[in-house]
Amino acid sequence: MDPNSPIIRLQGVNKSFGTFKVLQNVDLEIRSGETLVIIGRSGVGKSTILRHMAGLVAPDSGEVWVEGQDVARLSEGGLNELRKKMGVVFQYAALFDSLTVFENIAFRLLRDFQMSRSKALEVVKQKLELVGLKDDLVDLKPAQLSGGMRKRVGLARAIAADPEIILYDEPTSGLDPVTSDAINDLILDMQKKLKVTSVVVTHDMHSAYKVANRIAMIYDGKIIGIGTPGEIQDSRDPYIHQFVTGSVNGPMPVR
Amino acid sequence: MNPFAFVEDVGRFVLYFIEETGQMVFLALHINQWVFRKPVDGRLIFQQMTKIGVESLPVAVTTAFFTGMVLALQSGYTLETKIKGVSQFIGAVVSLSVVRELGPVLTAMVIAGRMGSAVAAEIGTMQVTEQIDALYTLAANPVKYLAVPRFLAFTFMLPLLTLFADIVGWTGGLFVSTLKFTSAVTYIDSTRTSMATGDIVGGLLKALVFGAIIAVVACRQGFATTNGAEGVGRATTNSVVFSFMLILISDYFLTAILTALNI
Ligand SMILES: Nc1ncnc2c1ncn2[C@@H]1O[C@H](COP(=O)(O)OP(=O)(O)O)[C@@H](O)[C@H]1O
Ligand SMILES: [Mg+2]
Repeated sequence: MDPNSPIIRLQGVNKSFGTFKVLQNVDLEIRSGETLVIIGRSGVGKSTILRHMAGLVAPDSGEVWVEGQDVARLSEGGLNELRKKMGVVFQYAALFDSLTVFENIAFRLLRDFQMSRSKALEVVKQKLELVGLKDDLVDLKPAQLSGGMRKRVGLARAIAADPEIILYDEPTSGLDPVTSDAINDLILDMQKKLKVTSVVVTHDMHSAYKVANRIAMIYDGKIIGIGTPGEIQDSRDPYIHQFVTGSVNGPMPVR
Repeated sequence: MNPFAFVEDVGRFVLYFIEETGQMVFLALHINQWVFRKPVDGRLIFQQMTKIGVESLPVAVTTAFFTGMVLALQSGYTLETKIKGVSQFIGAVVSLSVVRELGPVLTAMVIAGRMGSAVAAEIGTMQVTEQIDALYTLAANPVKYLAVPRFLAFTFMLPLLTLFADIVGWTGGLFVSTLKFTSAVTYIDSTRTSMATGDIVGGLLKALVFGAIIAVVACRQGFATTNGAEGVGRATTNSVVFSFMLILISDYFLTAILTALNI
């Protein structure tokens, strides 16, 4: 594949839930190896964009291409092959309540990759260290963990099978500033050391500026601006300016 | 107030019930498509079976014991004082009622209330906390991973628990009957001369169908959950209401088929 061609491409994506139009004609390209950050207020459709990339929802019209494949046209088997190269970090971790931390993180290693439990335990401990957790919590259930720990276990599960693409849904929300910054470093590390392509949804501007190669702002179902962190920070667009400076004064109404 | 509001509500419920039943048939077909596809995860199935067995056996047998006792009391009273002097048939009445009808139906209701609702709540919680989405992204099909083991566990465990309920219910009848009406020998004789293997097998067949219904209803309600914790509550209640209705409706038709076949 051409290294300059986008690894993920949304083309004219429209999506409604009922009569509510969430995404309107969204075009977005993510290049191989870059970290693209999507910013925007709650409820504008950021998670919905990620869910399209993961094949969890299909567009009403338009196309979603990942690694040269039209996601909506893939069979379940084809989609699963694609998902083997993809890690998804959910906003509230989405850990399996009935499984231990070890079984959560090793879920795919044990099932898909038929790894032995002892080998999987090695990998799990290594991933836990990466996300800044001690390996003595492998036998705990998610209910026994704090919110921040759950989030990091979710991250460890997403990177367990060494994905080429990682989709992060608000990876730092609800974490203390120190842990947040450790997650930022981890996102940067994954990119530098493992050449991972990342899409990060966030409204934490500190995190956005730190990890992004490019930032896209979404408002009212559309991408209203995309550029380098510097370009976004200096943007004259009143919506973008209002959002990145975190001000009540501007064109966006406070709902 | 709109005088037709009640009629409208009933109409809406009937439509919803029919629509949901359609969705359940769809899920049932989907489950059957996955049942025999590899890998068959024996551990998950076994885990569900033991859970159902351990958690509902006490309730199921208690229900059955008292049902058998009350049946003996009622039929003993009827046969002795209303029809007069035919209390030697208590054994037949109790055992046939339990084995053909009350064993399977009451056990199914107990398990729908105890375990079906739990499954709906569990899968519903997984749905609203994105655990179902997480399964997809980890290349695990939720029907295969969650619904199939539960479906197999319920369809296998229902007949087994019903068999226990039959035995315990019959024993409850024996207990009251010997205490108040006839000798144990008469009760046992009456059972032996009236009951055939077909009665037991027919009842267990019903239980099997009820097990499938409970599992499909619970999984469907779980997967269709929306609106957070409130939605989980609704899925839980709906699974019990729908299970009860579908158990009783299908019981009529199963009985019609079985009796038409002279079973
Ligand atoms: N499965 C769904 N069914 C109905 N509405 C949905 C669904 N998913 C998202 N929405 C709605 O779409 C809008 C965008 O949601 P989302 O993408 O989660 O926003 P964000 O992540 O930017 O906060 C919200 O108003 C949400 O209520
Ligand atoms: Mg979101």
